[in-house]
Amino acid sequence: MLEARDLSLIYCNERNDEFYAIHDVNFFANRGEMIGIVGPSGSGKSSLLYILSGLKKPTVGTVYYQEHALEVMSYNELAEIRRKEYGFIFQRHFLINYLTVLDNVLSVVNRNDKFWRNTAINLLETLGIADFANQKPYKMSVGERQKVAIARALVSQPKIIFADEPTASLDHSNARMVMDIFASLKGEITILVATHDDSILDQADRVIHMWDGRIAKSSIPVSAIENIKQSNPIMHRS
Amino acid sequence: MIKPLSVWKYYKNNQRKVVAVFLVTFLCVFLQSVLLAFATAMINFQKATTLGLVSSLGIIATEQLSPENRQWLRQSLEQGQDVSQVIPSAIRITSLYGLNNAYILFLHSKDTEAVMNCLNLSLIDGQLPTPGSNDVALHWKIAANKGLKIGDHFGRKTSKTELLIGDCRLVGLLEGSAAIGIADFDCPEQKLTESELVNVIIPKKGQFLQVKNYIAQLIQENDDLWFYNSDAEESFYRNETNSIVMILNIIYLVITGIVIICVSFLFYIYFYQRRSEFALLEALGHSRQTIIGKAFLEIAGINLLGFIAGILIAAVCEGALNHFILFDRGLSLALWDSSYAFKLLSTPLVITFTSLLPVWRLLKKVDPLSIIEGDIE
Repeated sequence: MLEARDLSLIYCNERNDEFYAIHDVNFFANRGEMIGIVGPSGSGKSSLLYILSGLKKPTVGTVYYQEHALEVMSYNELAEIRRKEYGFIFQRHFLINYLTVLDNVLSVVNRNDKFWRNTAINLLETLGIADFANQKPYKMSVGERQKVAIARALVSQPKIIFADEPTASLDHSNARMVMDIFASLKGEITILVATHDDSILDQADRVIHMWDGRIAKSSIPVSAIENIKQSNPIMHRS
Repeated sequence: MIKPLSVWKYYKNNQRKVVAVFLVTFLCVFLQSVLLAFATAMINFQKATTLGLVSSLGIIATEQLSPENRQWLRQSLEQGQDVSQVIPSAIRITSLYGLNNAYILFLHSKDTEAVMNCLNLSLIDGQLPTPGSNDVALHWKIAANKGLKIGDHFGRKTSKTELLIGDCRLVGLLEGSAAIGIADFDCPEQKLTESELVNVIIPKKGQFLQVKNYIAQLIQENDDLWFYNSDAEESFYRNETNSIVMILNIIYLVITGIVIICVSFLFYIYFYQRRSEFALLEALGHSRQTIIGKAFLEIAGINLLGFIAGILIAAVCEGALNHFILFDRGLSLALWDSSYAFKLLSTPLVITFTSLLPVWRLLKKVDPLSIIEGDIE
């Protein structure tokens, strides 16, 4: 569904020295897969996420979405894919302060008919913030605002969610709840989560470890192995 | 259901910001509208008093002509094939309050009707001057301007600032496009002399231009003739009104300039504060055209509202001024004139364009990732 080949992102300083934010990365994500991207600060996980989403252009390499190269797409085609098929959660919520929570959630689709309102309210209920639907975001806590941003990412029923540190401003129980929501969407939606906290990725299908712009290793979380074992008795016996 | 990113949603949720810009635009259009109405009313009045008399009949002064030449001129005029009637008359002026002067035509009673018909003047109140009297019928605007009612006396004997000598009595009010007065030729107070006589030439219907050309031919034949023609009056009228129009344009431009700076500055601040909102919308997949279109609608919408409110309130205020004060003084404001449309519409259009330009440049430079990543740092 999403594939990146030979990606590199190179920055130059004033003396023309080259720095690799992403170095020769190959990546693929299948439909419905939940993939964690972990690494320390500056390891290139956010850059990789933004390149994969088309928000940033790589210096070298190509990203393919459903076998279409993003680099050959026009600005408007890319914008349409981002609006209709991608969902974004940034480290900060970036809510529009003069709009209500409900309007913020609906800002992606810019619709306010019954269907979209119900969809948005259902999401807010699932996230436990339906009571705030008609309030302005500045009256909410940081964690609650981040939940609104998550609802906004989900409202358009995207095919892929790009989440950059989605739980950074949430406490442990709320972070767990968000990851449970993501896990419940597995199979239908491809979810890419960049985080420095790999403890929240126990429900991921795969975890990619970034280091200095490169993929250092790719692993399967223990819980995912347990799940595979449970679903496969032969593996379980061994 | 109002869309979340609609202009009305923004207006509804940002009332203080919207009201600030709205008030500036409203005040600008209001002031400009009132200014235009005042200036147009003055210019129209000037036109009626200056051009009204010579726009449909010809007048030739015979002041410098010998008696033989006067006779020759009269005969020549009467022989003109497009001339309907040649009427002996005299012209004097009366003062107007704060404006130009107005003409008073001294006519024999038998000629009055013909002149009034030619000038499309009608008697709306009182009566026409009786022969041999000091009676004067004035256009109602002149009478109102001078604060006169039927039966009132005016003239140098009553007021030292009055240009009309003697003592005259207002006996009738006229209405029509020419703002003049009509008095009797044998008015005893005026003591008209031979040298003051003029020939009023009434053209046949629709033949005014031909009569003008005929008079021009006669003038070429005799340098002593002095022709009150409409070209000369128009040039005088233009000189008089040019200064009014120039001052009006300067005031107009100053108001527009101040408002452009204020509104552009306000919008730039508002949109600068909203950079993260636009960056987010672009990151979420709203195209830059959509975002700039939203900005344009927000700017144009407020300006349009200010424009409509400015026009409406100005019209109400002008109507009230006319009703309670100005109509009684003969100088009612011109609530609408075709020249208003372009001038007034240009204000919101220019303001919208000049406000949008810096905002457009700002939004064009907004890089979603630099804001999203920059804020993280």
